[in-house]
Amino acid sequence: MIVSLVSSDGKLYQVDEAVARRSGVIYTVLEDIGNQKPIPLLNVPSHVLKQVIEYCEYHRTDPLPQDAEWSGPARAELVRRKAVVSDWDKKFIDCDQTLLFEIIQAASYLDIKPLLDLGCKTVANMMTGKSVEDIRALFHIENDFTPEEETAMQVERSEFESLYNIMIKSMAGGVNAPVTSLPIPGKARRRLRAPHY
Amino acid sequence: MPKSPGPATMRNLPLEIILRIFSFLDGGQIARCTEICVYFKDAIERSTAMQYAIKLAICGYSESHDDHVSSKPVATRLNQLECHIRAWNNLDWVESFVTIPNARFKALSRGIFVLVNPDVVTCVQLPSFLRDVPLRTWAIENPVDVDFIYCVAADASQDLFVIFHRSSNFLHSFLRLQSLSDSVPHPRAALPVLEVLVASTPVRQKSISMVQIIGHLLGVFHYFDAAVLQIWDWSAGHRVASLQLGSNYWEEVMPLTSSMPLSFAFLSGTSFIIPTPNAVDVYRFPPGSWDATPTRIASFGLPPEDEEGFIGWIQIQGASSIQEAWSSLYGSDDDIHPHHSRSSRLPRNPLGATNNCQYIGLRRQTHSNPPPGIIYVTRFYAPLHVFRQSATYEDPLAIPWDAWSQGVYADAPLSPENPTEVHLLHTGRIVEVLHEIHGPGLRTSISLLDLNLKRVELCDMRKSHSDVYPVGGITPDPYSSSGGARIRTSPLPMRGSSRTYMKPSISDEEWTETWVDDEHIMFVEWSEQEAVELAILTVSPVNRHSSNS
Repeated sequence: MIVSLVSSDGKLYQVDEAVARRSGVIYTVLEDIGNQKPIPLLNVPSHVLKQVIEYCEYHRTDPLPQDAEWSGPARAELVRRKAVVSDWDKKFIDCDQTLLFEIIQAASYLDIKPLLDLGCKTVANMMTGKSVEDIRALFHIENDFTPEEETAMQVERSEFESLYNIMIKSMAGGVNAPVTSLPIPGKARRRLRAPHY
Repeated sequence: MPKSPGPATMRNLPLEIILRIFSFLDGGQIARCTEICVYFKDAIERSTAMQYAIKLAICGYSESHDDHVSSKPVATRLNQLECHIRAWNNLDWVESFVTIPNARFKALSRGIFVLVNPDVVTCVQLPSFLRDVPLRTWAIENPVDVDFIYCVAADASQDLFVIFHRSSNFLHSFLRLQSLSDSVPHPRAALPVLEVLVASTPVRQKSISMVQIIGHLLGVFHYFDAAVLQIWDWSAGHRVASLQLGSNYWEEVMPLTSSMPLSFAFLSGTSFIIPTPNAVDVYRFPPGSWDATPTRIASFGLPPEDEEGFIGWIQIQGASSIQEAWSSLYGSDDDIHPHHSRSSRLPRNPLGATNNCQYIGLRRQTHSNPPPGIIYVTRFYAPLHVFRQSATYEDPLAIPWDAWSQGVYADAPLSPENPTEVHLLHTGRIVEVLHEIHGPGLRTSISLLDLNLKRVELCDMRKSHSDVYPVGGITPDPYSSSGGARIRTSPLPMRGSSRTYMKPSISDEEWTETWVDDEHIMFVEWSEQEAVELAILTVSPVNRHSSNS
């Protein structure tokens, strides 16, 4: 069976039913009203739909995810998060940022959970190990905190700064200077003993 | 779903997708994301799951694979964690006491305390709010004459209890692999008894012994003819490696004396550290080969002591947390030892928290001789050095050494005038314990030092502030072009709350030993060479919220 899908810009795509059924939304439509008319996908433009169909074609034989696997117990949740991304998927999702976010949105709208997770994981990987400024620059996010909010968040940092300066000073004595010089009673030095075991 | 305006960017993704993206980040990173923009901050603050992830990171826990955990809603688990954090912040504890038949040796693992008596091993399961377990004691048989025992070790997550002992003629040494919950040999051990080494001369009775368990590996540190470290695969029953830390090794550092204490600790399944008086040596197995001898890959120095050459000893804190973290990776309790779920003697871990150890504390200190009639106290002079693992790893058994050496280095300034004991918690916090004789009793002040996680995170990100602590050790690190391991400095700890515990009376012969884990502060009362009582302070919410589990 062939299913007809129409993108938001009016392009018609014809795919196998097995491929189309990867989408939870289309699955429901097919179950509900059957495969009679082309299905309009108002939120998915053709250049994104093309990508999504490519993904579904490749993964057509994968088992469909069970609900519990995707939002269920912590163990399943953990398995989902730790799942290894295949080389094909890596290559597939290696695209420019705008398309990546469009694919994520389409996957969410069409309810294709493995694709949604692939996208989200990719974004998360891009964020890993980066500073706040780096992340803002990477995703073109404006810093929209008010100066007051900014100050509040900086308080902890400045507390830290002053402490840190004390530390630096104590180390200024050079390499061989002890970091902190604590009084050591002379007698005790001579009477050393192993701790009890 | 409304059509998003303009081109797709991170900012105009719907809330649920943003949260799904963040769900792939760890707690520390999620906390950092609150500083990016208002939208992200609100999203994270409103999401229970995100708050739970952050709190887990703060507590030093990570979610386990245990299904039992997940039966509880996230909100309940979050509440438990918040109570746990509050209880520590305020040092709210519940006191309990266990009188025990005099015991000679002890081991601690995952909330279970093991004391060895002549014929019987007393096991105490510490009460736990996080794990919903009450105080419980049970006994298993002790098949070995206590006079022959060097030391014991336990790993509750693998139901393993190890007795390291000698033969009556001093010539043979054995590792006995027992079940912790039953008087039987461990069901997963290929051989119930491993013969460690035949000494050419009778080994000394009064020598220092250590046994550490990490997953299927077991490390034995002992003086035979010289200091020896042997690593065994206890489940397969064969020796993985044997390291002679001969007298030459020590002559490099200092003459070996009988008062020279030493230790070792696994950093991961492939590397371990051996502290010496002035430096810490790091050894690693060659990648992928267990039969090759591990080699010293790095040696980093500690701040030198004063001109008189003060020799303290270095203690590694958090090693038991490492051990537990790794052991619990091997699956849920059911996978590891099915027969125990039946008896359900060992606590399951409803929080699903495994100790995700990130810190190693090293301290130099001296013990004053305990003169007769005076309570034994630990004198502490040198600062505590804390190393923090710089990231979390998918496979903790293969953590690279760099992850530790480039972590945070901190000095904890402890009360210099007073003799104190310190204990590092796996959250990076430090518990300071001070004993004072007070009338007929003993007054113990407990205070909390905080290596604030968020501050440490901030510090990590400031590259300009990463200072290098020079190597003062014996050998420069051959693997580093700069000639030494780089150690980053961190902020000083913040002093937190403090509380006093009173023991109403104490006799002249008694002294106290302190143990601290993620939920307990314990005092073992020793009378001469034998433990007689356990005082357990369970840090938990005093006014408990009724848990719906």
